[in-house]
Formats: sequence, C-alpha cells, structure tokens
Amino acid sequence: MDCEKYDKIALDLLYDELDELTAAAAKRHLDQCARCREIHLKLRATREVGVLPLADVPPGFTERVLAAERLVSRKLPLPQRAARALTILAGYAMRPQLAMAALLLLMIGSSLVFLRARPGERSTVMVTERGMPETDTDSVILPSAKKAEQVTVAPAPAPTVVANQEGSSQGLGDKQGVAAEPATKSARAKSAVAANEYEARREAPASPAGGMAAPAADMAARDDALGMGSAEEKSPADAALQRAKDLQQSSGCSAAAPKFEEVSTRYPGTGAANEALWRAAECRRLLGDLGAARQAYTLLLDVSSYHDRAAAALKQLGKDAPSAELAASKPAASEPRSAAAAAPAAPPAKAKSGASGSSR
Amino acid sequence: MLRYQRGDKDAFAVLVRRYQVRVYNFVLRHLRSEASAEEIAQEVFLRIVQRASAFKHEARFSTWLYTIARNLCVDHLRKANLRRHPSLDQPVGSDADAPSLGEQVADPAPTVERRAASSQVAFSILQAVDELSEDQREVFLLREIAHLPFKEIAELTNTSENTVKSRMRYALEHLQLKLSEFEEYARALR
Repeated sequence: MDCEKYDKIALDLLYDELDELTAAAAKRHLDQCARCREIHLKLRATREVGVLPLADVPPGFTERVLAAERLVSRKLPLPQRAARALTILAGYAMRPQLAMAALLLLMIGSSLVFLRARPGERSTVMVTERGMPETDTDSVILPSAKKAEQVTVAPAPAPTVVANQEGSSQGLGDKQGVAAEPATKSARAKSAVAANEYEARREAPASPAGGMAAPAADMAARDDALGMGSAEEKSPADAALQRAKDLQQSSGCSAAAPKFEEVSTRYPGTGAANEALWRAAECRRLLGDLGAARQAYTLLLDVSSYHDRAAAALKQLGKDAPSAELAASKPAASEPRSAAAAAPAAPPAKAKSGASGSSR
Repeated sequence: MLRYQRGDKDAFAVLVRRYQVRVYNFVLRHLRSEASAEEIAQEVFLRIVQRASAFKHEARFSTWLYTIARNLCVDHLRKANLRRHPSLDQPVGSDADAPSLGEQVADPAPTVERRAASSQVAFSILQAVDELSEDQREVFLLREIAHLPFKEIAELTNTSENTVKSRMRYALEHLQLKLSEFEEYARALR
C-alpha cells in the first residue's frame, strides 16, 4: 500500500470500516510511512478527544412524545390504519401455530367438499324385476319425497332384480305409475335379454334330457344370426315375440306355442308375426301336433323369406308323418287345448292345402 | 420496531427511550435551537408512528430514523431561513448579557465522564462543529451521533461515499485545529 491509497482509506481505518486484509495492509504501511502515521495519529486523537457532548432531552419530553403518539394513533387516516392492521394480522399469520390451524381448517373444508359429492336428489333408480311379464303396462314408477325411484314390477314370481340408476327425471310427475317411455322399455328388454342369455347358458349343460333345451338353443342361435337377439328399439310385436321366446326358454314349447300363435295373430303382416308363426310351427312339430304345425308351415309359404324353409319343413313333415303321428298320439292327448288354441290362428282352407303337403 | 408493527404499544416507548437522546442532540446540533430541536425531535417520533406500516425492514431502523430526522431538519431550516450560521459567541436576542448560542447548546448537565473533561474543550468542540458548513456538519453529526457508516450516510444524503468521507475528513481536521491547543489532545497523540 502506498500513501495515495492510504489517503483514500484513512477514514475507513479510523472508524474500523475496513476488512481485515486491507486494515492489516494499512497498518503495515503506517509502520513504514512517517507521514501517514502522523496523519493517522492526529485523526485518532481528534476523535478520542473531540467527542461531541450530548445534551439530555428536556424534562417531560418522553411523556409528551408518548402522549402525542396515542393521539396520532387515534387520528391516523383510514389507509394507514388499514395498512397497520394488515401488518399486525400478517405478524400473527406468520406464527407457526396459526399456520398449522389454517392448514387444519383447509383440510377439514376440502374434506367437506368431497363429502357433499353424493347422488343428487332428483336422480332416479330403476329396478327391473325379471320373470314372466304379461303386459306392457306393468311398470310402476314410485316417486318419493326426496329420491325418485322408478320401479318396474313384473307380476311373475321370479325375484331377480336388476337395478339401474339414472340421472334423468323423466316420468317423475307420473303419479299413475305407468312407464310409457321407450327408453324404459328398451332398458327393460335389454336386461331381460341379458337374463335370458344367462339362463340359457346355465340350463343348457344342466338339462340335456329336457328335450326342449336343444331346439331352444338352436332357435336362440338362429335369433342371433338373424339379428333378433338385439332387444333395443323393439316394436310391441317384437317385444311380444321376445316374451314368447323367453317363455319358451323357461317353460318349453308347450307353454310357448300358444304365445307364438297369439303373436302371429295379433300382429299380422309383421316380421315378428312371421317369426312367431315359424316358431309356433316348430313347437307344434316338436310337440307332435303335426296338423297345427302343417297349418303354420303352409301359412308361411306365402312369406318369401320363410317360403323355402316352410316348404322344406312341410316336405320333411310329410316323410315323418306316419311315425310322428303315432308318437304324438299320446302327448297330443295330454294337450288337447294346444291344438285347439292353434286352430283359430290358421285358416282352414290353407290348413287343408298345407296338409296335402303341396307347395306353391 | 417489529414488535411495534405487530401492535405492541409498549415497544414504541422502548424505541423512544432508546433513541430520544441521540435524535434530540442530532436535531439540536443541526438546528442550533433548543425549542426547535424539541419540536422537531418530537415530530420525528410521530412520523415513525404515522409511517410504521411503510417500514419494510430493508434498512436498519436507525438509518430510517435519522433519515426522517435529517429531512425534517432540512425542511425546518428551509422554512425558517436559518441557513446562515449565527455565531456561537453572539448573545441570543437583543440583551447583551444574555447567554450565547454556544452556551445554550452546550451540555447543561454533563455526566461524570464529561465533568472530568474540561468544559473549555467541550465548548471548543461545539464551536468547531458550529463553524462547519452545513454539509460537513451533517455528515459529522450522522457519523458521531447517529453512528451511521459512511455508506449509509452517502445513501441518506444522496451523495457519493467519497464525498461523505471528504466532508468528514475536513470536519475532523477542523476540529483537530481547534483542539490542538489543549493538553488532552496532546496526551492523546502520545
């Protein structure tokens, strides 16, 4: 360090504002330089002796200041009072206990938000009881005060229940309890088809000797091939046909044949009626009621899509007629009403021509 | 100050008692008027009350305090047109027997240490300080009474640090000249 540099840092050295290295260098320079040492000694002596005497504050100064402080604090403008309140609150907010309490409240609040996410009051619950539905108007909607439930009840004894929850409020005002919406019907039919498939899968290996199970499975397979398995958007005729099929699955041809014949007569000219007539014929054939079967096949000769099958069936029926009539004489006696029930469905004239086995 | 900002009323009394003597002396030596000094010193503390929420602790409290005091002094001098330096030997008022300004400003009740020192030395110190220019006196008071470092004095007075040191050195050399005739100063040199 030289004298010029010392002059720059003389006051810093005097007031101890130098870092240690620079201070040590300055002191080494002072040891070597008489001029700078003399300057430093004079400055240090001036500082030691020239201490500025301090006067005491006037008597009562502190009290007057504190009194003025109270007065000023009360008269602070609103922005400054707000800023001061904010500062005080911020001071409290920075304390760890309050931070933990705030965190706890936040957790409780957020959990309450999640707990409130339960089903709405207007949501509906649809319950479908599967079994042997008899009519289309057997669905009942039971609205309640807080939760509306759409209940579709079938009079059949089978208690299996499929429940669907829907957000829709359709049909809530229907106090008569009639489910007329297509959506409800299609959903019910869909669930019925699903149940039928389940029943068919369950019964098929369990009852090989049932006699009716194998033909029923064949018919179900054909339904799938023809696209009849889909229960969505079915007409009343299709629905009635589906119920007859369900009855065939569950109770066999003896119970289903009259139903098929009923469908064919109630909805004439529809695809469902033709299919029902075909199934009625098949059922009658299986039951040994060849006359009724022949009548039905003969009627189907007029339907182009069934013509070939009906002709083939009639042909086959002609071959099997002697042995089959012998075999069917006993069960036919046990079910005289089946043949009688089928009779009105078939016009006598065509039945006669069908019985002769002729084809168009 | 943090306690006071958080609403502790007693903290302000602590601040007042801690800083009142130095603030009062800073203002007194700056204005050279006891009446004005008391008024301005009180105003300094009231400004602290009014602006407490604005203090962000980015600087030392003492720096903020003396900045307020210095600004109030400057404003007061400007208003009172007291920039001309009256002599400390000149009697106050029209009465020729009245005490001089230097006698008024000098410590009226010296402590034990100061009592040991020569009153003549104290008077010379005060006289030397009074003879300084306003800028030099301001730096000297901020350094010797407020004990602010040169860097903060430079920021407070809006000047460079070298300028502050230059003013301070001139003030010390002037004081040195005034004290050179006293035996205490000679002893300190040894």
